[in-house]
Amino acid sequence: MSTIKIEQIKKSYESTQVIHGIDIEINHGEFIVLVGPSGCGKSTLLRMVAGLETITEGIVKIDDEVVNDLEPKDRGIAMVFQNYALYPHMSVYDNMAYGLKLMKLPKAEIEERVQQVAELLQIEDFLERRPSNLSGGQRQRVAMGRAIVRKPKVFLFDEPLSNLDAKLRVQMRMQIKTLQRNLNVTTIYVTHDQVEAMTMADRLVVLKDGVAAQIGTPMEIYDNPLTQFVAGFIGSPAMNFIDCEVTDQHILIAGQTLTRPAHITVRGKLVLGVRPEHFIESQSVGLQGKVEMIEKLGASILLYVSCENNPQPIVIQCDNNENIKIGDSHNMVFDLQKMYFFDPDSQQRVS
Amino acid sequence: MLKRVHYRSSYLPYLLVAPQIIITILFFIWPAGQALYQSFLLEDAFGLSSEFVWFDNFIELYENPNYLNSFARTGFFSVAVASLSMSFALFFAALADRVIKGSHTYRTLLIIPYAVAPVLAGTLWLFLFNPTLGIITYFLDAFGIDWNHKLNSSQAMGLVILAAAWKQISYNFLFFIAAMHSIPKSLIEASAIDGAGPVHRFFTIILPLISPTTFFLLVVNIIYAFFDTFGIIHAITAGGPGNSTEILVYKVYNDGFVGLDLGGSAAQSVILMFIVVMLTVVQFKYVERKVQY
Repeated sequence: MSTIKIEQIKKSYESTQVIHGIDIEINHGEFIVLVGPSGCGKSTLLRMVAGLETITEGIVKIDDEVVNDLEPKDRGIAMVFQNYALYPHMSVYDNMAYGLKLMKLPKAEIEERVQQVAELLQIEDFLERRPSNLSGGQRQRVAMGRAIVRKPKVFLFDEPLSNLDAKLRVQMRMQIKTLQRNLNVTTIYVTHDQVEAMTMADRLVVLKDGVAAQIGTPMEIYDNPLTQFVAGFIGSPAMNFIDCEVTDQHILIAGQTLTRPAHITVRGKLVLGVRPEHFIESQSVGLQGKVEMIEKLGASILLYVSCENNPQPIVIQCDNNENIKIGDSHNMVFDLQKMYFFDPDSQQRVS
Repeated sequence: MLKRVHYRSSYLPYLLVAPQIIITILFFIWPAGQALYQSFLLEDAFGLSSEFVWFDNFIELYENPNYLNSFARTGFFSVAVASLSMSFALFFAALADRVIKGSHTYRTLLIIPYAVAPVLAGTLWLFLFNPTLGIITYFLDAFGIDWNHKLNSSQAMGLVILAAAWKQISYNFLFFIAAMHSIPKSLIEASAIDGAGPVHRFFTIILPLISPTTFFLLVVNIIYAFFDTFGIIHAITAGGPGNSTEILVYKVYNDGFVGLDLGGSAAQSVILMFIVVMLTVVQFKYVERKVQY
C-alpha cells in the first residue's frame, strides 16, 4: 500500500511564489494526472514530491510518513523524465541495473530483475546496446524499465511522451496505462496535453498559476467544470465562450434574441460556454451565423460559424455533411442540458 | 554540396584567404623551414662560415647524455604539470558546479591566473619561495623544512612544476566547468533518485561524460608544459641548479642563444616541432572519433 498526501504545499523562488497552497490526497494504485498550461507549476509540484525541489511550505507524506526532508533516494520513488535522462555512456542493462547496484543487491537478483522487466517491456533484445543506438520509443521504454526495476512505491512521470511522434504517443499512452494498472503502483503523471490527461487519468488535477483549479475524474471535470479556465482547457476541440445577457424572458447573444429556456435560472451579463459537440440538429430557431470555414476530420466535421457582434467564430462539431458549404447561413441550436454559464469577472461557474 | 557559382572571378577567393596564408607563411612556414635548414648546418658562433653536415647535429644529440636526460626530465615535468593542474582544476570545477550563490565571483577568481603573464607568474612564485625573503620559505622553516631551490635540485623542480601547474589551472577549470554544464541536469537528478551520493555520482556519471574534454585537455596541457613554460622557468630557475630544471625548450634557448651552437639548437627545435605535430595528429584522430559513449 502506498498513498500520497500533499497538504497546503507552497513554493517560492526568492520573492516570487509559484505554488500557492495545493492539497491533493492520492489513494493506493491511483493514476493522478497533473495537467495545465506551461508555467502553471505542474512540474515543480512533481519535483517537490520527488525531492528534486525544496518545499517552501506545507507537507508531503508518502505512506503517512512526512518526506519533506528525505533525500530523493529515500522516498521510494522512481521518475521518468521528459528527455528520458538515460546514462549515455552505459548499456541499456547498466542503465537499468545502476540503481539496483547502489541498493547493494546480489548480482544474481539484479540480473533476474532486469531480465524480467526487459521482457515485460520487450527490450530484452537490446540490453547490450547504448541509448544512442535506440529509437525514441525504445529509449522511452528503457526509461520506464529503469523506473519499474527499482520496484518503487510511487511512479513519477514528467511529460514522458512529449518527445515522441503522434502515433507512437497514442500507443505508449495505452501501454503506460496498462502497465500501471497491472503493477498497481501509485502514479503521478505530468502533462500539458489534455487528451493524454483525459485518457490516462483516474483523477485529474487541473492546475493554473500554481493553484489547483479543479480535482476530479476526467468525466466529472468534463461534465461539470467549475471555472471558465477548466472548461476551456479540458475537452477537444475547446469549448466556445460567447458573451451573453440573460433576462427574465430572453437570452441576448451576439445581438440576437433567443427565448430563455425555463431551467436557466441565472440572470445578468454572463459568458455562455458550449462545447462544439453539444449543438443539436433541430428545426427550432437558434443562433444564426455564417459558415466561415470547414475542417473535415473524416467521421465528423468542424464548422467555424461567425456571428455579427461576436469576435470569435463559434466551433461546431457535427456529422459529416456534404451539403454544408462555406458561406451558407447556419442555424445553431444549443443542447439545453449542456449550457454552462460563467461570471465574466470571477470566471467562476454560475448556475 | 558547395556551389561554384558564388564567385565568378577566379582571384577573389585567393584574395580573401591571402591575409591568413601570408601570416602563416611569414610566422610559421618560413621560420620552420629556416630551422629545418639550419639543423643541417654547422656554423661558427659569428655566422661567418657554415658547412652543410646532413644529420650530424641529430646524431650528436642522440649521443649526448645531457640531451637525453633533458628529454626524460621534460617527460616527467609535463606529466607532473598536466596531472597536477588537471586534477586541481577538476576538483575546483566539481565544487564550483555545486555552488549556487555567488558562483560568478568564484569563477572569476578562479580564472584570474590565466590573465597573468608567464614571467610574472614565475616571479610571483619566486618571491613566495625566495630562500631568504620568501613568506612560504619562512613558514616551511617553522616545520623544519629548509627550502632553497637555488641549491636543491628536486626543490627547484617542484617549484617550477607548481608555478607552471598553477598558471594552467584556470584554463583547465574553464573547460571542465563548461563540460559539466553541458551534462543535462536530469541525468544528475536521475542518478540522485537511483540512490547515488554526490561522490559516487561524480565518478560514475560526471567523469565518464566529460572524458572527451579530459582527453583534449591532456594533450593541450602536455603541449603547454613542453613549450609555454619557458617564461616561468626562465624567471624562477633559469634551468638550474645544474641542469636540473632544463627542459627541452629551455635547452634550445640555452644551447642556441647562450652556447651559440646554432645548428644543434635548430636540430633540437626540429625534434620539438615533430613532437607537436605528433601530439596534434593524435588529438585530431581521437577528437574526430569523439570518444564513444
